Amino acid sequence: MLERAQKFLRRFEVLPFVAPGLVLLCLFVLWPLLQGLRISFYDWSIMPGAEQKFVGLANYSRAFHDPVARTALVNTLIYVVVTVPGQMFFGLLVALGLNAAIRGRVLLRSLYYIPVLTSWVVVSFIFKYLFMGGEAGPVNYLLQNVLGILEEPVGWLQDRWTAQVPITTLGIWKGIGWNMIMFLAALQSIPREIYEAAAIDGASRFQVLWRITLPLIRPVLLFVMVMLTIGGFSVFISVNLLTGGGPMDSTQVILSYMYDQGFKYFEFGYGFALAALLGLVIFAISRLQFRYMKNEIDM
Amino acid sequence: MKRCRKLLALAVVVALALTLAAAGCAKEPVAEEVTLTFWHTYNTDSNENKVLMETLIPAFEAKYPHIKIDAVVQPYDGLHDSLIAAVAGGMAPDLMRMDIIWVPEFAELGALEPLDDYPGFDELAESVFPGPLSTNLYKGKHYGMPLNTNTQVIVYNPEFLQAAGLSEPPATIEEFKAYAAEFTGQDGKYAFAPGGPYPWAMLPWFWSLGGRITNDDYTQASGYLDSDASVAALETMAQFTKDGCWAPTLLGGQPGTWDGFKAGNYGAVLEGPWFFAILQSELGDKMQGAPVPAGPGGSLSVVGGENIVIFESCRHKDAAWKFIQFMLSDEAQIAMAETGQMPVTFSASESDVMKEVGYYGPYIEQLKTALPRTPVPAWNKIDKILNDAFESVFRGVASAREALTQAAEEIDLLLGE
Repeated sequence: MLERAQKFLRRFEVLPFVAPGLVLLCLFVLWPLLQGLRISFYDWSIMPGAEQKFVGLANYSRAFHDPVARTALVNTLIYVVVTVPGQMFFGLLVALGLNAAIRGRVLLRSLYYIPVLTSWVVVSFIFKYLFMGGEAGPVNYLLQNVLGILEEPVGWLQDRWTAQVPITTLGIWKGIGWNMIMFLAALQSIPREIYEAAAIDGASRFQVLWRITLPLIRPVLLFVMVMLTIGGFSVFISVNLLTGGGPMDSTQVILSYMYDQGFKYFEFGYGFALAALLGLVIFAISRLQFRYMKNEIDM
Repeated sequence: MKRCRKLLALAVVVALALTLAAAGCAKEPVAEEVTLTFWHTYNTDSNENKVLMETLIPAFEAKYPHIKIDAVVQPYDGLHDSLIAAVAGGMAPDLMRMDIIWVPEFAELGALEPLDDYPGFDELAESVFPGPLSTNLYKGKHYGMPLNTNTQVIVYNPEFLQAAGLSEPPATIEEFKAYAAEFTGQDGKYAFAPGGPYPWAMLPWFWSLGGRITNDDYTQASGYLDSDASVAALETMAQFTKDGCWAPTLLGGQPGTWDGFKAGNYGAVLEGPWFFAILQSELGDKMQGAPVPAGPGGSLSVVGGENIVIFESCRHKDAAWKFIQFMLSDEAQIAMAETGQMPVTFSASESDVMKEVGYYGPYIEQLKTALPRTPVPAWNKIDKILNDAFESVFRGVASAREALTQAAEEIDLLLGE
């Protein structure tokens, strides 16, 4: 009993240290979140002091009947399914390469990390330029005039499916550096003796990778996967700037569609309902992933 | 205890300070100095901004020494979003020069001040063109005044006309077809380069070819947008695309309309007077404006321009109204006309300036018949519906009749709200 009380009191002792963070969290994360949830049940007017009309679940049922919302969900899923393994694959590849004792690896590590640090807005504009339609677009020029793969230039951003190429390429390219850092840290924590033992046993390089390295960094792989999945569902800036959801809403993702609803059409209630649904999807998927992870890690 | 006393002392000091401040306020003379924030979209380094900052605002401030104008340049891209954020956050400007198509939308929101009851409104309303004035109307009240107007005409590259053996730009759709048949993409040359499938670029063609969006009261689209005449108009436009006389710029092809026109790829573009104002020094007489070729609907273009509005949250509305009156005076309207902003008052448009600026001719002519985009709060959504309907036809996804019938149904719902 006494122990319990002490434990409880100790919580208050740390309060001064966590309070600033807690206050900020409530102010800038929890309060807006609750406010957003509330708005999703209204036909919300943004005018300060305006009378708000309660519409119950109307915004939610609308989302289930909206064909564009469906397109947006599918596009978001495509983005997650392509970019999460893509980033992990290339991130691991680079990490394995840079884990070896090669010359200039500090420099290379910094170089691979630069895309992570650059602004989404800036690189989106650069990709927009690279994937410009017509013969003047650098990617088209490369594929058509230099490599001779294309017969005629592609209007990359003018079609739902070709537009996925720049959008997902950008997502993968920008994420490699972060994956690399995570995997490098994990790789360096593997004791050298295990590799030495494997070498003595005559394991091939592939066997070492498959049977030693990957199983040992599995917790990190799973953690990275969860984080990337959450990030992938929240894709917004690149889509908004590359295609703006067009042509004809065919490249919308959930967040870009939500943004359009709010800021183009003043449908803030519907926008927040979409956001809430997306939040629910992310929450469910991360829960599943974490549960799986827990079982795996409690070896 | 000691701490308590300190606190008490502090409280007393604060209370005293507040009383003093309040007393000070009360004694202040009534004609206090007022600063009005004015958002506009004149480009920072444009002549328009120069005239505003160096001529007009100083003249206004000299006339009303107690009113200061804080003019803020806003980039048009993303302005709609930042304005919404500003309105929602109670940080809206006092005055704004706003795209005419936004006024009903923000009026419906309750963000704008109706101007009908301000002193001198009636005289001012009578001094401006009724067309641009009507774009401020929402539920019987005016939520702004027109500030400048414009429309689009076809701007030709004279070399294309010569190559087609024409001495004059095509006046009718039939003449345009004959001209356009000469340039269908050979050597990258196209007869005309549309800006995109969006209504601002498409409506002049759609209307001139006989299409319509709604009835005259803007209450119904079915029976108008999906009529045989509208379907035929859109089919003709799709045919232009198929035949290659319209450049792929329609669906985002490169080079863009301005670059391609300058490089001699495109024989014509649909543009406003700013096209001449900006490119005059570069292209000189290599551009020639002419009204939209007349079809079954006549020669109809689309009205553009800006209105000046007072926000509901403005705390000095009387001072703001004085600024509106000043911006519609001959002095301001004529000064702006010299920079390429077409005036909205009768007196200014009859002034000599209009004749001096050579390229105004076809625009003045075109404005006589130009039509507004449906002036309802839901225009932003209608704009998108029309864009998608046109685009789906140009891409061959839907037939003109399918696309327009569906669009008409969707627009009917919005007009009924």
